[in-house]
Amino acid sequence: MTSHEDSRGAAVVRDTGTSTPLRGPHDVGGLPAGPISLDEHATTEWEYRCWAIATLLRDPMRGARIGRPGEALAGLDESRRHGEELGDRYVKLAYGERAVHALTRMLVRRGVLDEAEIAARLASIA
Amino acid sequence: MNLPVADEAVKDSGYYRRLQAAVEELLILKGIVGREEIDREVAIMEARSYRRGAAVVARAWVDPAYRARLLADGAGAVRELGIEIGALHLIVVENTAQLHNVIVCTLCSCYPRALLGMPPDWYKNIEYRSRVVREPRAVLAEFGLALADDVAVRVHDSTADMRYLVLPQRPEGTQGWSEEQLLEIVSRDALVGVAVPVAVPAAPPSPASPAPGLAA
Repeated sequence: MTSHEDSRGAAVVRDTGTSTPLRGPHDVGGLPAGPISLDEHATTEWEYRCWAIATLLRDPMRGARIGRPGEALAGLDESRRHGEELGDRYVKLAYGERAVHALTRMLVRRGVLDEAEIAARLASIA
Repeated sequence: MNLPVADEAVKDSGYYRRLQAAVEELLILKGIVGREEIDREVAIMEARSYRRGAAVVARAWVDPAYRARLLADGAGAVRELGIEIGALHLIVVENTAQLHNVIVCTLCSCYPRALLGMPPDWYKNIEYRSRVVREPRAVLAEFGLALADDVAVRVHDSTADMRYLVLPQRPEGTQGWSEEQLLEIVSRDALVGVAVPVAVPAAPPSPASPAPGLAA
């Protein structure tokens, strides 16, 4: 752990390890890493649709549709947090996969969908 | 949660594609979102392309007053061209003969999507996010960009609310070019700062087959 003051005089504490709770799996700036793959995949339909749904659910008007007026059913920061909570599994998932995971977790945690109905629906999809 | 997470086997079977479909169907059945609403949002995202960012750069290259407005108030200046970026702050960083800028989001994958479209995989992957803040010259070299030692490199780390766009240097040899011609040489990677535009005229069409009489 190191600390110093930034240009505005605020204390800056920096975790210098990789395994303490202060550094989440997403917090990778400055860590050693391998070569950068320049392979690119075109965004798939399901990735677009996941982000489209998340965008729509962030609207605070959206909750009114299920009797929760003034309530957004998703949040951007909350979405990131669900990805970060994946821990060591964070790097195993692609960005779009983390987005679907986060959307699902948000909806379950907020009581919009429950796991059993998602699992049942999932079983019907090829 | 009973639903599996990050298991390689379910991942390979298209688990997340199927999970997305299951969630979408349930939300539609419950009347929370409509299929057409989703289609509309997808169309908006698909319409976003780095060519919007390239158009901003081409305008700045031909119009010094616009360039000044762009550097002073990025969001306001891109709105002048009809590009809506919502509530985000946008800082446009200008490359000069002594300074090269490159953007990253170390914590996530924040990217000026309204101007550039969806971020490429390498921008979202761990390797670029980890390394570009520590060894930017080595990273830029992997993209094929070798900077002179006397050019400083400045790396800008985006946040959820703050996005960056690189204003590249207008290359030598483009005097008298139209805004439309200039737009064509501004690549997505130049707007992120992992490449620089060069003045290449449109490539001649490659011959589909040897000219008659020349074939062996």
